[in-house]
Amino acid sequence: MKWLQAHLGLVYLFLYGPIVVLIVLSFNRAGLPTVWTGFSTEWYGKLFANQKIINAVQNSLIVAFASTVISTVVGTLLAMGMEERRPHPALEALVAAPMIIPDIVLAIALLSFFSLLKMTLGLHSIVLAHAVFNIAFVCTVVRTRFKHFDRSIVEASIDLGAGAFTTFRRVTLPVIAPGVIAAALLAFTLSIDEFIIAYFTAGPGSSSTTFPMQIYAMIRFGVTPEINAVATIVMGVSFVLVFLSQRLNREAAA
Amino acid sequence: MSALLEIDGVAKSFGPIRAVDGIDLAVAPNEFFALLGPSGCGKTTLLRLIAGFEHPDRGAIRLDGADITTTRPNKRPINLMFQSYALFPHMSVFHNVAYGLEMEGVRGVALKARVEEALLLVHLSDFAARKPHQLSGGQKQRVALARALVKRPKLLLLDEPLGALDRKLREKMQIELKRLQQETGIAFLVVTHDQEEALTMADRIALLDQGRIAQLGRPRDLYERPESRFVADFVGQMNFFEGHCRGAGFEVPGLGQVPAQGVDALPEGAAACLAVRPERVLLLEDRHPGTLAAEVAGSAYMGQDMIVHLRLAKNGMPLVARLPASHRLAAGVESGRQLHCRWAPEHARLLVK
Repeated sequence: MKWLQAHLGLVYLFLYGPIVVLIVLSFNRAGLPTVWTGFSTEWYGKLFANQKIINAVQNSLIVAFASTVISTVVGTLLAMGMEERRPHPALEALVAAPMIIPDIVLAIALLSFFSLLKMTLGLHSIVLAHAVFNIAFVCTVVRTRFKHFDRSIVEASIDLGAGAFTTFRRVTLPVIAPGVIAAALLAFTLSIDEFIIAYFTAGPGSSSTTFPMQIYAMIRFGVTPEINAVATIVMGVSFVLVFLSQRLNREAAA
Repeated sequence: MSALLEIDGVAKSFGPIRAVDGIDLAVAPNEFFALLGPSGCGKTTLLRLIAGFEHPDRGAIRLDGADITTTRPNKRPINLMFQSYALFPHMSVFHNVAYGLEMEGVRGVALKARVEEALLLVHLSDFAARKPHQLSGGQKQRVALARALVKRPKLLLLDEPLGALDRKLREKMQIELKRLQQETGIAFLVVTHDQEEALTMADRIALLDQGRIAQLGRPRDLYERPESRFVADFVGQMNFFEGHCRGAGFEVPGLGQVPAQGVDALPEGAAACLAVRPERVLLLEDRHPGTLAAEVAGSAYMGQDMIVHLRLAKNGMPLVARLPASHRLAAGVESGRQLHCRWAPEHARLLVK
């Protein structure tokens, strides 16, 4: 029993040790990333004074918000359509494919596709690229919600005199809402720290640099406490979003 | 009296399966009508055709003289109580019941008054604020009823309304449904596979078999004057004897002539089936002219009744008799006992199909 606990402790240390070190060092006074010289929040202050980082964060928020809106609407409608029509299993698998296709493959494919269309690259192309994989995630999450969905309540609504739109607004949507919100939170989380696809589809120029891209640019000059501070904030935000998303889905299932 | 609902040659196929295969029937205003049949007989499809969730391949459906065959379900003055109740899980009992009225544009005080009236009708006034998951099965069923009744439809369709309830509650709700139907004056059309439910509640029953009406009539007609072997077999318990008409009697191979009525209406030698209800089989201790000797093979105590399984001495055929528990013989029908049985000719029905 003791051994088992020790083993478990080691696994957790392996998983979370680096993250704890990162968080601790983000409060380190010295500019050296490896030696503890005292507590300080100055790196967080420097972070918020760095215009490049602020711009990158703004870009990432725009991309994440826009791709979340697009993928939540399209993915939810897709899930509803698939519940209603029950397409061939191969077609269902195809919807989930963007979740499994390696990011690098998707990134190259999207870049080729955009250049084929002679589309200009920028934030809008990142938004569309992120919507591609987010639609798959949203659809999958919303469909799990439909597993507990009694189709007859839709018919009951129509039977009681409601039209298709009123039925969607007053019956279907409120019932699947926890799933839709969870899906949107997940989509937002996936988009905001996505690097590879954004890197490929951002195009030249620094105007469409997203937050992860900015960090990548900074890290080439070595890991500074500033980066540790950024990573700590990103992790905090992601953690809260994923936690909310899972909680919503669990509450809905109960 | 003109019919409220008229179904005229309605048919509906799903691929190669003819779910409803040419049905004609009429439901009168204020009637309690039951669609009875085994699973897969087409009764649920017919119900969905009337509600408007399916469209017939041919035939017409009229309500109050108006053709509603292609009318959308939300435009029909018909409401359906779903088998699963289909309550909106995110709405309180009050809002569930109010939903249909809101669709009609009823608002404010009028809305509140009518919802409360409907909840009172089903004895749920104290539960208005509850959510469906806080209700028992029987309460959910009554919310579903109130939600359908509150719109004052011309016709209320009920899909297996008592299917999900336990036996005690089912018996109570049978009486309750009958009361609601009489109080509201709305015609009820109930779909059920439970023949006992149909017999106790309905004014008239249509027994369906493979998409067609096997027999339509009052409960008593179906039980006492079944027109086919299927009807005789489905409604209640029945003993069957295959045989032929010989002279003035009915001859069963190995048994000889047995009591039957209506033989003269059939041609000499015609093959037929004789149907005798278990409660019409009389058991006697002593042999009398015309009785059949039989041995008790087993018995089942049912409370008020006793079911006795017999084997006829002459040809070994099984025969089921039902006698009241108060009957003189009921206490002593242990297996192996020799008895004699007979039935009155008027209680034996000849069926040719």
